[in-house]
Amino acid sequence: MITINNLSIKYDRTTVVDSLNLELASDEILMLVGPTGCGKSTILKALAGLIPIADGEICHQDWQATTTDFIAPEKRNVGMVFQDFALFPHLTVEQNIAFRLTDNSQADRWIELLGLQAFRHVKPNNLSGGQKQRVALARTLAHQPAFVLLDEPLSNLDAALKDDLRWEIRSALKTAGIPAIWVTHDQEEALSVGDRVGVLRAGKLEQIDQPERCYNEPVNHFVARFLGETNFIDAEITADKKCIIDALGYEQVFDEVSLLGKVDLLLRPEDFSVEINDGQDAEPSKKGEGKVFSMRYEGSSRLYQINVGDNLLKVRTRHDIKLAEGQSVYLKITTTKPITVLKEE
Amino acid sequence: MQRRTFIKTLSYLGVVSALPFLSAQSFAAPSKAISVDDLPELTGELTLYLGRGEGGLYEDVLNAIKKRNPNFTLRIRRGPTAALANTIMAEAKAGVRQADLFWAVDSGAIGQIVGAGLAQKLPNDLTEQLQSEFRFNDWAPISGRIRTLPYNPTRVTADKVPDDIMALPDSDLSIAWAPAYASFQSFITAMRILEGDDATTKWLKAMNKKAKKYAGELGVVMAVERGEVDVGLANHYYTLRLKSGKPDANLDLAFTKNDAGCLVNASGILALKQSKTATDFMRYLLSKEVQTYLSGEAYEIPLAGQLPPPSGIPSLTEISPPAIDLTKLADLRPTLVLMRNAGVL
Amino acid sequence: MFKTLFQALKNTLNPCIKRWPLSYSLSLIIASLAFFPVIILFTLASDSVQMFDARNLDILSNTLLLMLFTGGGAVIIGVPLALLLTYVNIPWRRFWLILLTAPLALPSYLGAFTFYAAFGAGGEIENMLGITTPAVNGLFGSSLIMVLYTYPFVLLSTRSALSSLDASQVYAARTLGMSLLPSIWFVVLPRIRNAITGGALLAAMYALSDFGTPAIMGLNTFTSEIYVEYNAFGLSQAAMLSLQLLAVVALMLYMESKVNVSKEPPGRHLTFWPSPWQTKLLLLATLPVVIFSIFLPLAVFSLWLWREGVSSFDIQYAINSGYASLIAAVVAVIFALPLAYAATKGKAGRIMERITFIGFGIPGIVMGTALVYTGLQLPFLYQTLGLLILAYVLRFLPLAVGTIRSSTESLDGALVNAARVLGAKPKEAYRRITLPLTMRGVVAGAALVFLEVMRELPATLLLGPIGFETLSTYLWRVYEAGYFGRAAIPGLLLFFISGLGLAIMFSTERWGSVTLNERSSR
Repeated sequence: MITINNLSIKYDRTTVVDSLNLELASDEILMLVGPTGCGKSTILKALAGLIPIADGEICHQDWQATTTDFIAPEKRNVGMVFQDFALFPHLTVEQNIAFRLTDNSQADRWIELLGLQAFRHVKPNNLSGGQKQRVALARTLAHQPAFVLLDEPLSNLDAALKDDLRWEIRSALKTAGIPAIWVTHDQEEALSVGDRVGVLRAGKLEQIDQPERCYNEPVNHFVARFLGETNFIDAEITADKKCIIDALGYEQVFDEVSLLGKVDLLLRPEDFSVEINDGQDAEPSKKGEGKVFSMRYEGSSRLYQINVGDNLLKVRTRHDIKLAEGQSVYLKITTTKPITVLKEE
Repeated sequence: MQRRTFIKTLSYLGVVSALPFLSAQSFAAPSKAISVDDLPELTGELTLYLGRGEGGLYEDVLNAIKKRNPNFTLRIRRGPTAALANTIMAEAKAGVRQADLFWAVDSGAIGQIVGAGLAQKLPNDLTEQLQSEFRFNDWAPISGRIRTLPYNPTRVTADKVPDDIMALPDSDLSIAWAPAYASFQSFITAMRILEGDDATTKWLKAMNKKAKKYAGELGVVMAVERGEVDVGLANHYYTLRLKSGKPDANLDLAFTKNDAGCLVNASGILALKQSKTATDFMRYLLSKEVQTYLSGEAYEIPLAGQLPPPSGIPSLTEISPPAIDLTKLADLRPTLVLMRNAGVL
Repeated sequence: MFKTLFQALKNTLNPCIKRWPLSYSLSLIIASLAFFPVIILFTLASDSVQMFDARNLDILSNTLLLMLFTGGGAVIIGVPLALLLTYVNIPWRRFWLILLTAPLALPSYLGAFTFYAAFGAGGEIENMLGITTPAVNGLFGSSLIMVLYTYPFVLLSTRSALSSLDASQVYAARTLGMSLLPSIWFVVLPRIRNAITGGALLAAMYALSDFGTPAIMGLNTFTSEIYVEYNAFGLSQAAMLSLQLLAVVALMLYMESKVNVSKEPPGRHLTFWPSPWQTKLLLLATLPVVIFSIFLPLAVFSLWLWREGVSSFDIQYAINSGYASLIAAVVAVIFALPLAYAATKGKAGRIMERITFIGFGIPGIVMGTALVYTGLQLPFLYQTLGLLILAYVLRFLPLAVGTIRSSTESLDGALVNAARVLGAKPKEAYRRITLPLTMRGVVAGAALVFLEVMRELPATLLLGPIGFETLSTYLWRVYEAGYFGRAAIPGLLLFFISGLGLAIMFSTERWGSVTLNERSSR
C-alpha cells in the first residue's frame, strides 16, 4: 500500500506536479492517464526515487520519503518498467532478468511464464520490441518488488502486439499479486486494464475512480474528452430541475442535479439513436432533425457527424446503418443511464 | 631500484676504463695542476644536481670518480639548469635540502643560488687552483666556453669575418643566431656591461634586420655547416663536437678581439651543504685528469691547473677575452628588457 | 582557499539535490589536488613585476593559430583513422590501432628536430637521395609536427565514441537515399562531436604547452616567451605569463563544454567488409602518417647511429618508462572515474571536471616547478616514485577524464535508473552498468595517459627518485648533448614499449564491453 500526500515536484522553478494525493491499494492496478507533459511519468520517477520531490510525502509500510528524507531507489523495493525497456545491452536476457538475484528460481519462473526460454542467452539488441518488453517485465517481477511502476510500457510497440501484451502484463501482475501504477496516454488502455483510473492535467489529478465512473461520470469537460468521444450540448435546467434541450426536443427532470441555469450535457456518440427522415410521416412537432455531415467507418460500427441546429454531433451507429452525406435524419437521446451535467465551459 | 639502475648505468659505460687517471703514471704533473693521486679518498654519500643533459661525458667523469672511491656513493639528478635552480630554491623555501652539490652549465644559475645565500663558502686552497680571474668565494668554475663566430669556409674566408663583434651587423655576411639561448643572453649581458645599453640596443636592432633566428646554438652551427648562412654566433664546443662527428664538415671558427664576442663563460659547481666530502668532490673535478678529459672529449676549456685548451681552439692567452666578472652575468633581467625592446625576443 | 572553493561549489548545486553524492566528495578532493599546482603558480606570479605587455598580444596570434591548426589537423587525420579502425573490417586491426596510436609516445621536439634535420637544403634527405626538399619550418612546420604527434588524442577519443554508436541511424539514412560518406558526415559525426572536440581540445592544449617544437621550427609563440623568462630565472614572470595563457585555456574549455550530444543507448556499430584491394588501398592511405611520425625520426636517428657508432644503453630505462607509465595510467583512470561521473551529474561536478583540465595547458617546465612546490608539501614523499606517479596523474588527469566523460555522457540514463529500481545502490549500478558500458572510454583514457607519461620530461627529471632514468629523460640527455645517434635505440624502444603497453590495455577493453551476438544474428 502506497499513500501519496500532497506531493509536489518541480523542475528548476516549474511546478510539474502539484499537491497530488493518491492511494494505491495492496492489489490494485491504478492507471494514470493524461496528455503528454501532464506529469504522469514524473510522478513515477518520484515514486521510484529517481528525482527529488519539492513538497509532500510518499509513504509505504516500510519507508516514508519526504523532501528532506530522500529514500534511495534501491531502498524502496520498487519495480519499474520503462518505455524504452532499459535493458542492459551488455548482458544476456537471463543476466538481465536475474540482475540482482542470488537465487535464479524467480528468474526461471518468469522466463517460463512469459515464454522467453528460447532467448535466455541472447543479448537484448537482437530481440523484437515485444520480446524486449517481456524481458523488462520479467526482470521487474523476478526481483519481487513491493509495487510496480509501468511507464508507458506499450507505447513503443505496434498495435496488434499492444492488445495482447496489455492483458499479458495485467495477468502477470495479478499472478504476482503486486500492486502497480501504470502510466499511459492511451485512454482505451487506461479504461480496459486498470482497476482504477486517475486522470491528470498539468500536474493535477482531475479525477480518480473506477473506469466506468470516470467514463460515465466525468467531473469536467477535460476528463470527459480525454476518456472518449464527447458531445457537449447546451441545455438549460429550470428551477424545478427540468432539463430542456430545445434542438432535440428533449425534456427530462433530473432529480440529482444541483446545477441550475445554462449547463452542458455530456452525451457520448452511443447515447443516440438515428432515424432516417424519409419525408413520409412528417410531423411538424417532431424535433431533432439533422443532416448527415460525414461518416467514418470503424468496422463494427460507424461514426457519423450530424448537424442538428447549431451543433455538430458525433453519433455512433451499428455498422449496417449506412447513411449518405446530406441525408436528413432524426436524432434521439436513447441512453438509459443518467446523463452527466456539467457547468458551462 | 634506483641503485640498480645506477650500477647498471655504470657497467654499460665501457669508456670508464679508458679514462686516463685510472693509470696515473701516464701523467707528468705540470705546475699547479693537482693529480687525483694527491687527493683524499671520498667516503660517504653525496647528492648532485647536475644542471645539464649530458649524454655520457660528464657521466664518464662521475663514474670514474666513483670507481676510484669504492666507499663513496654519488646520487645524481639531472635536469635543465634553470629548472634545477628553481627546484633548489623551492626546496630551500620548504626547508627540504636534497642536494649537496649543484653543478650548473650556466654561471647565471650559479649566480641565482649564490644570490639567494644558499651556497657554502669554499676553502681558499680550492679556489686557488683556478686561474685568477675565475676565483670566487662560494662557487668553483669547472670548465669554460668561448663565444665564437663559426663560419662556412666554402662561402666566406676567415679574413672576411670581422674581429670586432660590434662591426658584425655592418658586414655583408648572412648571419645565424639563437637569441632565446641562455649563453647568448649572457653574451648580451656582457655586451651591455662593456659597451653600454645604447650601443647594445643599436647592435641588436641592426642584427635583427639581417640575422636568421634558430632555437639553439647547435642549430646555428648546423645551419652554418649546411650553408644556410655564412656565419653564426655560438659557443665554441658546438663546432668542435659537430666536426668530431663529421670531420669534413664545412665549418671553421673565428674569434673577435677584446669584446663580448669572445666572452669566456663557465660552468660551475657549488656546495649547498657544508661537508668535507663535497669540497673534496669539487677538488676531483678540478683535478688535472678531469680537466684534461673534459677538454679532450667535451671540448671544454680547462680552467684549473694551467692546462692547454682543446685542440681546434687557441689558448685563452691567445684570444684576448674581455675582462669581466662572471657573477655579474646573472643579472639577466635588464638584458631581456633590452632584447625585447629591440624586438629580438 | 579550499574552504571557499568548497562553499562555492556547494552553492552552485542544484537546490533540488539535498544529498551531496559520493562522487562529488571524491571529485572535490581530486580536483583540488589537480588545481593545487595552479594555485602555486598564482602565489609565484604574485612576485611578478609586470602584469601585461602589449607585445604579448603579437605572439599570442602565433600561439592561437598554432592551436587552431593543430586542433583542426588532428581532427582531419584522427577522425578518418578512427572510422577506419572502428568500422572497417581490416586484418590485424589491433596492430594498426597500436601502430597509429604510438606517435603519441614520442616527444614532439624529437619529431621536430628530425624533420628539421631531414628536410631542406643540406638536409639528410638531400644528402642521402640527392633530392632537394623544401624546408619544414615556421607556422606550417610547427603545425605539421604538432598534428603528427597529437592526432592520436582525436583518434582514441573518437574511436571510443564510435564503437558504442548504434548503426541503425546510418542504415536509415542509407535507405533514405543518402550515400555512405554523407551519411557518416551527417548522421554519425554529429552524434560524437563531443568526443571529437574533446580530442581536438587536448591536441590544441598540447600545442599550447609545448615549447620544443615551435622553438626548433623557428616560430615565436607565447610559450617561447615563457621559456625565455624561465631560463632567465624569471620564475614569477614565467608563472604570470603561464597564468595569462590560462585565459586562452579557459575560453577553450568553455567552448568545448558547449558541445552537447543527446543521450542514446549503445548499439551495434557499423561494419564494412571491403574487398581485399580496397583494404590495401585504405591501409596504404595511412602510410604517410606512419612514415612521417614514426619511420622518419627512427630512420634519421638510425642514420646518425650508423655514423656515430653504437654506444651503451641501459634497458632498465625502458622498463622504468613502461611500468611508471602503466601505473600512472591506472591511477589516473581511477582518479578520473569519479570526476567524469560527477561531470554528468550536475553543474558543480562539471566545474570540478573542468578544473582538472587547466594544468594541461601550462608549459611543461613551469608546471614541473609548480609540481615541485606541490610535492614539497609532502616532504616524506618528495622525490619518490609515488610522488612522481601522483605528479603524472595530476598533469594528465584531463586526458583520462575527457575520454571517460564523453563516453559516460552519451550513456542512456534509463539504464542506470533501471538498475537502481532493481535494488542496486549507486555504486553497484555504476560498477555493473555504467562502467562496463563506458569501458572503451576508460581504456582510451588510460592509453592517452600512458602515452603522455612515456614522453613526459620535466616532472620526471625534477620529481623522480634520484637515478630514476626513463627513455624520455635519456632521449633528452642525448639530444641536449647533441649525440643524436644514441636516440635511435631508445626511440625504437619507446615505440616498442608503447605498443606493448597499449596491447595490454586494449586487451582489457573486452571485459564486459558491448559485444552484441553478431554471430548469432547473422
